[in-house]
Amino acid sequence: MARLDTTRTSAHQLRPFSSSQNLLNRADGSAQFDFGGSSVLCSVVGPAEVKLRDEKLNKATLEVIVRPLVGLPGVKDKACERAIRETLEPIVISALHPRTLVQIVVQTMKDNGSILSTALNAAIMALLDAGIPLNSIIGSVTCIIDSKTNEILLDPTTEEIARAKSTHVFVFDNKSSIPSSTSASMDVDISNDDDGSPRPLFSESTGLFTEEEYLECVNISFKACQAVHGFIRTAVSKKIEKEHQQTQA
Amino acid sequence: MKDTEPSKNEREFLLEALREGARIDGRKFYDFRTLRISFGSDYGAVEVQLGNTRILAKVSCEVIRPYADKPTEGFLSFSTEISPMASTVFEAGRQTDEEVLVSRMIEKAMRRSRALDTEGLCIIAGEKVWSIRVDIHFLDHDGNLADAACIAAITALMHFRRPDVTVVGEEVTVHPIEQRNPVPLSIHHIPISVTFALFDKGERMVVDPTYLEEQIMEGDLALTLNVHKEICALSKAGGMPLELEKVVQCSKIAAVKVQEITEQIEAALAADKKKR
Amino acid sequence: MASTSISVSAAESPAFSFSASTFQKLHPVEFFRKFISQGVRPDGRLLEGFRPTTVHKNVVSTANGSAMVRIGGTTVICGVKAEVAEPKMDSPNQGYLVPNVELSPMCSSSFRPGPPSEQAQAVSEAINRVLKESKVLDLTDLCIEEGKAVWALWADVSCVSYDGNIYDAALLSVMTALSDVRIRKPTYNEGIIKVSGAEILDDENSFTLNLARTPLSATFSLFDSSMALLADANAAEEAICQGEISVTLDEKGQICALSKVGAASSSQTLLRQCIATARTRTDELRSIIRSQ
Repeated sequence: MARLDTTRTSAHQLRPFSSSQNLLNRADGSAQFDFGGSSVLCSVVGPAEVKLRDEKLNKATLEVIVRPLVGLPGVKDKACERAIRETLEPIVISALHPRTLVQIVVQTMKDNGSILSTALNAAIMALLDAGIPLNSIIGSVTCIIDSKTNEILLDPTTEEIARAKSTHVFVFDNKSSIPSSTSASMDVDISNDDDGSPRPLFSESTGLFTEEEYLECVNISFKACQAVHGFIRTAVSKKIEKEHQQTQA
Repeated sequence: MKDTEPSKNEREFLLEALREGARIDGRKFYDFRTLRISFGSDYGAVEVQLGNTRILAKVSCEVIRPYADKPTEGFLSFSTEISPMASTVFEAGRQTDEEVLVSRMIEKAMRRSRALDTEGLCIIAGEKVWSIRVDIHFLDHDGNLADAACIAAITALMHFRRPDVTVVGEEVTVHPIEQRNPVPLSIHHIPISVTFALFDKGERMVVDPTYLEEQIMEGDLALTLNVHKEICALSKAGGMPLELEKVVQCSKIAAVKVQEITEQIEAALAADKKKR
Repeated sequence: MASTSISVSAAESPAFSFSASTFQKLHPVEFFRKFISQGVRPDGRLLEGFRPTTVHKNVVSTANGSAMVRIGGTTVICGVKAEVAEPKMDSPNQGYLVPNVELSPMCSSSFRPGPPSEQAQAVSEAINRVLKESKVLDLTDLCIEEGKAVWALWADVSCVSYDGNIYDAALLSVMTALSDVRIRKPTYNEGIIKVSGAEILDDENSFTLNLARTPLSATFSLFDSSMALLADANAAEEAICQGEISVTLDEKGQICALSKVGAASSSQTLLRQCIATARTRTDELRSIIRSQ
């Protein structure tokens, strides 16, 4: 069935995504991630000096600041900050840098839907660029269930979201893409909660939907996230190769 | 987060170089850094790079009710909060002196010089007018935020198109951009700001200072002019005193720079128009 | 419990032993883990046990609708106030429904005075999204005169005592207060709005809201990398848990919102389990509201 976004032919097609790292000079790391007409720039500073009030004795403090494209930061952006921070907290190995600050600033550059996912992907790439120790890489996609066709559409545009019956944002880490047998042997704790199914790290769904629809969204998004993971991996290894060549020359 | 002061060596090196007629990035005293202007897919989204200083400006509009005492005046507002992305010196939600200066500069250069025809934003007197909002996002700070912000703001306003409206009696119909060609804003003139950094009691002046030059300079002078050589704003906020002749000299240099930058902006806009 | 002592090094001598409360202060996570490994929680609840919940309607006489909700040690009051407002230009026949959650220093020493905290804003936004996206109220019902006047409903939730799980409590209070709302019927005449001045309100001179559904929620905290699921965590438990799963359901069992944040990734079995438990819990909440 045809999508509202006429540039795409199938429901499970993502928009072309692209990224560039190390764009900013003052930040320790930065990255821009684009999902078609949506673009987010993200900067990372850290480990840096932390305010006494925010200091944690056994780990680094993670601060996320979300800045909207239009208008002053509002309640929505605060909720977004919290979502990003709580998703990244278990990913960043913060115990390596106690009593420091890792500051992540997220700036929307172009908004055509799926902004939270775009922001999360930009954030992980900026963290990689800044050389902050991470225990895994995350990838995020958004999907909706169309109110007219009841079809699950991946990576929706603003126009498609307006017609959605429900919206779902997912994050998967690349640990969950490792076959269950190896992951179980590596991490004993997780084995008692492992059914071999895709494991969302972050999930935010609103609208009206059933349990079955939700789980289908999880599975479809998981597959799409594999593509995002692969992309991030290639982008990072290309960048390192280039840097390596430059230092050799 | 507090900023680190440049070291004594850096300071001496920079000053000594100036005395020998050179800037440490190889520029001449009255040269701007390379200006890059790129446009987003939407109208009114502009990214400006002045050397390593990087700014995004986004224009948006909505229909609102005018003030009772100015029933035919539309609104033009700027948001110039400097994001911590530009530099850790800036904290979210807390204004620094630099931020206040930049926002005042933009306000004076754009709004008070009446660069935009706000009366032309009226739809129905006393009932409905357009409110134009310019969000200026500071992404990377390598000095001279004010000039870069000014270029970004005016370019974004020139690039912007608002939806067309038709008025039948009291009924106002706003036509979505897809259905009817949107309308550009009517702009009276193009104010461009040129900032001078002053060294050695005003003996040496450089245009478009970098972050390091800003940290070391003794004072600055910012002039906003248009191509008609009209001064829209002039600000010398503290620092060492400056002879009157120097100010006149600066304004002459600025007039040339304004001409150059205006041409660059117009060329960029024309190139973008061709592509659409 | 205070009289029992926990021996830290079991076989070694000399054995250090603390009173349970000292151990809790020194090693709150370890203290907690010992309970969880036995399948109980320090306050005596089982892992999947919710705290006793009470709901009272119409507790604030000056509000158009109000409710007080208690979930264990968490107490919130929601007051809904209806005001006449001008509609937005692009939605001339829609009113407003604005939830706002306030976590003041009064309800817990962990909150500071001043602008709303990130947590308060995040909860407000979560409730706002549930109300809006699961289409609880048709906002055109709040229209008085198109393009001129509409009702704005301010649903203000004030936390009186904070002991965890503010989202469940706040949503329950908002939904109960909305069902309690009664607004005097307005008449619009050339820019002047008149409302009935009758002392006793009945269906003739006032109206109630037509709520399409009543979303209610159940929140679970995730403890440890073992992903132990704790229903309805209190403040102390929240502090040592890393993640949360929250399920919001309407009376037909449709999901209105589902969120999982923090901690490690969770399996679908765990998510299914949360949804199933949430069904039982929200059914229970519905019968509590009905018995009111």
